[in-house]
Amino acid sequence: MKRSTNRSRMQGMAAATIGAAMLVAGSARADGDTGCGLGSQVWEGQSSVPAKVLAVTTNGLFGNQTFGITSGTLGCEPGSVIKAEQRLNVFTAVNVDRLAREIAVGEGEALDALAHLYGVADADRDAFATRLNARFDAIFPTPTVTAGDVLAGIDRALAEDAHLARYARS
Amino acid sequence: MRTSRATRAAERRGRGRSVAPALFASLGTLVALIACAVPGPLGATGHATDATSVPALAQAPEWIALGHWRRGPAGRGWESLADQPDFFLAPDGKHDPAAELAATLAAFRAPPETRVRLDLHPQCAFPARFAWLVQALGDAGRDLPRVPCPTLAAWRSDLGPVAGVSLIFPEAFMNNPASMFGHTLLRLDRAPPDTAEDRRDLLAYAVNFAADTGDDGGALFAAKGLTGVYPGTFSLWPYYEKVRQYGDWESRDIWEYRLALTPDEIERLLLHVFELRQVRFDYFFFDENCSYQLLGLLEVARPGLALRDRFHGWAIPADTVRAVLDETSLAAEPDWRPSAATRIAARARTLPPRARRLAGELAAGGIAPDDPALASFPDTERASLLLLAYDLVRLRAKAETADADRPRSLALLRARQRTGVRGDPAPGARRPAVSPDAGHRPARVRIGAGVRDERAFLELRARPAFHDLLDPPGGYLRGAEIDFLDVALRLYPGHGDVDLHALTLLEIVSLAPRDALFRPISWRVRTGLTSRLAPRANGGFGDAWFWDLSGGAGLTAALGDRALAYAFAEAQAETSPRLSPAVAVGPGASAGLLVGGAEDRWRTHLRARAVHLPLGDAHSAFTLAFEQTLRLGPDLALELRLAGERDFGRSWLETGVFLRRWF
Repeated sequence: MKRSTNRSRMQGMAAATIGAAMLVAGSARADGDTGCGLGSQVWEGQSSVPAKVLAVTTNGLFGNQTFGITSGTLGCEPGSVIKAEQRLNVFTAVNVDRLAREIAVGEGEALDALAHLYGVADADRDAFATRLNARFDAIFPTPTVTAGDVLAGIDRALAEDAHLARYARS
Repeated sequence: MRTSRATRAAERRGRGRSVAPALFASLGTLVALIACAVPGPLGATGHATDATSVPALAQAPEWIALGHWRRGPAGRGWESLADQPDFFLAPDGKHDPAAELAATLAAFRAPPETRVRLDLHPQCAFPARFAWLVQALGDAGRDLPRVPCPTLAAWRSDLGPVAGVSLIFPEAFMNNPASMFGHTLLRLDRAPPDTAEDRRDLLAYAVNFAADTGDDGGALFAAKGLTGVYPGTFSLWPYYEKVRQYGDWESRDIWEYRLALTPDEIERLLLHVFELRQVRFDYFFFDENCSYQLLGLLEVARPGLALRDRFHGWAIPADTVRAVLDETSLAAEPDWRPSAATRIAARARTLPPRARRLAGELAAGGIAPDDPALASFPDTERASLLLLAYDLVRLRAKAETADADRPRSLALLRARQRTGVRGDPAPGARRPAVSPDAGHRPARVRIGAGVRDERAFLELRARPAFHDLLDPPGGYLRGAEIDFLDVALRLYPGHGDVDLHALTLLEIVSLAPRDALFRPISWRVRTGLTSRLAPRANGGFGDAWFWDLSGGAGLTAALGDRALAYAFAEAQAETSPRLSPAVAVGPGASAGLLVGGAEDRWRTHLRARAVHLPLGDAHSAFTLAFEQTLRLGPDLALELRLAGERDFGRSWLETGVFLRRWF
């Protein structure tokens, strides 16, 4: 019962955000930067580009609000899509606990999607997964690590590997 | 591309100077449109074939689909389902496809700086209309001026490759009234089936139609939902977000049907999705709901599909899936994406009971991942056990915030990584034998004969929807029953006319089995009118109307894959002119055993129920029933009922044989 209440409240919040955001869709569109209202739910009142990106990438590992947060990410203009350069950030922020699981296991659908977003060639997929699996502790050092930290950790893990360094984001 | 087309169009305009302005300058009204269609000057210039068809275009299935018009009440006139004023360019566009076509044509020729909805030029705000008109008008269409649409181009580019469309069906979710029948959405597939890229469908976008219901709950939610107060819109989501919502949050298995659409059809669909951004459609739970509106999108993709025409009054998601599969073919076998709970249950089955118990303790924090008890398991089993514990923690974390979840989650994954086991050797969840499209149809007629208290009867029973515990379970949620407006007529030969015997307004049962890992509560609720045997004032016994309202909560256990055993504590209130005073209220209890799997032709329900109603006109009632169905065909079954009843201190038997037919 409690679960259902929480969930519907969550959906309600998401829906309310969408509704409110629709009203301001004009101004949101005028931003024209990272995509519509990226993370605005968390960082209310901060509209600069870095703050918006941060809002998504500071989404914690093992948090339980990812659904609401990305609804804010995408919901302010129904029909909008994520800007290409933000796809990796948003994907990681939404799926960070699933990525942690798949990196610990060394394989998985989300991990494969992550490799795709990193531009990893098919032939290097296995090496990518192996590398991240081996560096699990470094990528997920604390229970409060954020999605942004996770991405930075993955970049470091890749950079330290002679073959995979090419995929690390500078 | 766009530039070169525009240039070509300009050249053509130059050549056809005498024609194009003559054709389009006066297109502001329908009258002008018809005038333009008159052969003569146009015929003389060789554009007659295209131009004569202009007024007919307003009735073309393509145009009707693009404007979401449907015939008004009694088949007269038109009304669009869209409730967004700026979605129409003509003042009465909502009701007048012809005026809207004329206004659209005029708007497409407006100067480049013209802006309509969402601050876009008409050509860019309505790209699907534009693409179709260019094609449908032939030469005249190609002569339309072209306006660059950078917003559309950027949107299309951000969307990424779209090589197919899938109809996505998250199965029913009993604990939310809006999701009890399932849901449908579309996924824009990134690659053709069975390619390497195709496996990354998490990264695809999904097109979802949903109502913004705010924080409303209960009766307000139902009332508003039924009367179309809620605004619904189409929205785009990354598919991974939807998988999280339905598969992880709500633990609903997801079916994915890849439709065989052509590239042209897909492109039309995409342009129309762009066109529908922030277009409001009043949301009606029964008919103009998510599934119905999605059919409208598919009708745009493939003009001439008459999907929505099949639904009047209500559109059940699984029915719309069947309708789509009837009219289009599939590009591949449907995929099945098990929910978090399904995957957890499947993994638990692969582990010995002791490992399962330890996983539960790990998830609850009773023991730590380095507990010596785990050391005795082989690496692969320990790896699977740790993963099971992690998945349990995550599933519970969706419901409640617990700070302890974070360190526990990380500790479990660390321990899992340290087992050194790469990959997940545990077999995945087993795909159900019957997909939702192959389940029985939800409307049902039941006809048969029987004997009640030594009097023979004939019975005709019908309900529009949806599924009861004795219906074949394949394609439906296990242990769930939702019955609406089930009406039974009876004739006792030699005892008068055909009478209404029962009217079940609503009956919902959720038998959710409990096990070592999940402990859901089962529940049921029912209200309806029944003609029951009750004492008469003169001392005899005869039929009398009873309106009852009852509900209960209980526990269910699965006995293997095929059987469910349950027990409920209940409460019941009833009213009848035969009661004195006219009401009776009290507690009750029921228990039952339901046997039969999706692959079985037969299905058995053995149940017992007792209610004691001490308040009002005190009396007690007991039922012991055996019900058995035997499936004779995909939509036909034989039913046998045998019941012993006791009420007001008198006992009798009721038996019957019926045919069940689903539609």
